[in-house]
Formats: sequence, structure tokens, C-alpha cells
Amino acid sequence: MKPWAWGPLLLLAGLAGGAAAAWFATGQVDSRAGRGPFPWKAMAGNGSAAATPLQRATVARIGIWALPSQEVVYFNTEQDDQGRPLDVACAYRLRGARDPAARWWSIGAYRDYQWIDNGLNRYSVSSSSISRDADGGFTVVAGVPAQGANWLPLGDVAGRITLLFRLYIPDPAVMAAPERVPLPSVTRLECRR
Amino acid sequence: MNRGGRIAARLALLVGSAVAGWVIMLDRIPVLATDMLFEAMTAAGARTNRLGPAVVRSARANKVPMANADILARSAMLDLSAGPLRFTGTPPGDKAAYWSVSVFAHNTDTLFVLNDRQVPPGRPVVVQLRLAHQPQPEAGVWDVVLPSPRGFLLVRPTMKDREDAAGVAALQAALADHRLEAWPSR
Repeated sequence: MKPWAWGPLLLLAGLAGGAAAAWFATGQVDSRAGRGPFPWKAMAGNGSAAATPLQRATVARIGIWALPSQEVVYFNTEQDDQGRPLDVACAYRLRGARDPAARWWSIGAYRDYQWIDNGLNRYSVSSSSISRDADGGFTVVAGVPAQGANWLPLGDVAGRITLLFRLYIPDPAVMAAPERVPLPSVTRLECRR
Repeated sequence: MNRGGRIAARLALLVGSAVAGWVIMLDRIPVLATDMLFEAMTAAGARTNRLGPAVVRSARANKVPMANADILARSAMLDLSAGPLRFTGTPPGDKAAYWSVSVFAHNTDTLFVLNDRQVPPGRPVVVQLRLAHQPQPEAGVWDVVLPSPRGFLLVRPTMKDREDAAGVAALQAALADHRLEAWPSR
């Protein structure tokens, strides 16, 4: 190769490599980032000018048009309480002892960041649709087999499963201390193998 | 320059251009993501500067990643190059668990959010969407200035229970007055 050709070649290779790395890095939730009660995490700055360029680009790809945290706080998890990745072959019990301090909340299930197709067209449960336990708390079962009124389908196609807990008009204490928000436990039940 | 110097210079060029590629791509991804979604929405029948209908969507019809399935969304792809637009809509009161109207720039920056608790009950919300050089609205109209002609308007009327057909129908009826139109009329 002629010595002069190294410059343009390395420039193009570097630009392409950097762009590819950015595309790869923004295609999924960074499970290490954010704060919340394990395994849930919320990112400060979503939907606001305070977001970092990486966060902003990631949200654009997997949660575009998110609202700022004074309007909605988004807690997500892709793990159960033991740190294992959520798996469509397993069922999970989500148990909340009480409601987080917010006007309204919902729990949505996603495969590869899209709704999970199912015969009920059910993709979430919410504070206004959920059946309550006798103690005022709530229990949701996600995954197969279908269980109870608060069943949340996870489908049977493998993929990256994400649970998203949205708090609409949250109390200011939520983002001040996200670790203290009473979000449901995510307990793995039986698995089909 | 000796051999060691040449290698160091080439390495510096490679690393520097990789950093530049990373920064440029992060900056462009929000615009690309918006354009890709606009293409998908257009292919599905949506039209620019038209407020879409309030329909209960299924997994097969939904185009937006990590969308809230409880929202009976009314949305519009915006293009202000021909002039300002005006959104008008009355929050549906207790028929919805939550309602807001929000406006996003082409690069997904949140430009405006107004929810139902921030306005007097039963009164319509009027929002003017314009570019900086376009005329300002009169008093009493929310003024949203977009940095470029393209953007997105999203109304989030939130269903209390998407499986309650009567409740959903009542909410749909309450959203019938929502409209997006050229302002002043062209």
C-alpha cells in the first residue's frame, strides 16, 4: 500500500468503527446504569435536556418520545430477584405490598422492546385495572401458564424480555431516592425445559 | 518521521476518527430513529400534519418501541415548513387515568408537556406549533417553537382498563374534539 493511502483508510475505518460501536451500544438497555430497588433501575434525565448523548440516543432507539421524570419515571428490569435474565420459558410472580407514590402506574412486558403478541391483546397491567390482594397489595404472574386475573403474557418466542414499571406523576421523592420506591419483587416460579 | 512515529500517528488518527464516528453517530441516532418511525407510520397509513385516530392498538399494529399499551394515543408527524399548526383538545376528565399533550423535536428533544392537572377542567387546551420566524399566537394559546420543521406531537389519553370496552368507547368519544389544523387557515 502506498504510504499516503494509510491516512484516508484509517480515517474511514475509525469513523465506521466508532459509528458502529455507537449503534451497537444504543440498541439495548444498559442494565448497569440507573438507580432503583434491585432488580429495577430508572435512569435520571430520560426525556430531558439532562440526558447524556448516549442515554438520549438509546432512548430514541428503544423508548422514543419518553417523558421527563417529573411526568413519568420509567423503571425497567431484564432480570429476576436472583439476577437471572428473564426467560420466556419461565413464569414469574411480581408481588407488590403497596402502591408507589404516584398518580397512576403500569407494568408492561416487552420482547426485544416490542409488545408481545398474544391472544388477549394484553401487554400490561395497571393500577386502575389490576385485581388487588386482600391486603391491598397486588400480585402479577408473568409467563406461562396463564394464572389469575393479573396474568401478563410473555409469549413463547425467545428474545430479550424487559419489564417496564411506569410511574405517572410520581411523588418528587421517587427520583430523589429511587432505591426506596416500593416496586414489586420479581420471583421466578417454574420453568418449562 | 521514523517508523515508531508513523505508527503512533496512525494509531492516533484511528482512535481520533473512531471517537469522532462515535460522537457523530450518537448525535444522528435520534434523528434517524425518528425518520425510521415516520417511514413505518407512513407505510401504515399515517399522514403528516394529520392527527391519527384514537384506536386500541395490537402488537401487530404497534410501531413504537416500548410504547405504553394503555395509551389511546393520538399523534401526528409534524412538518411546519408550510406554516404553523394549532392543536386543540379538551382533556377527557375522569374518563382517563392520565392525559397529556407533548411535542418532540426531530432529534427527539422534549419541547413541551402539559398534562390534564395543569389546566382548568373542561376547558380546551390550545397549542400553537411554529418555527421561530413564524407568527406568535395570541394570549391564552401555548406557544411551542420547534428548532426545525419536522417534529412529533403525541397526546397520551391513558385508558383505565384497555379490556373494558365501554370505558374505552367513552374515552374515544371524549377525544373526538381533538384536532390539528393549519393556523391561520391556508
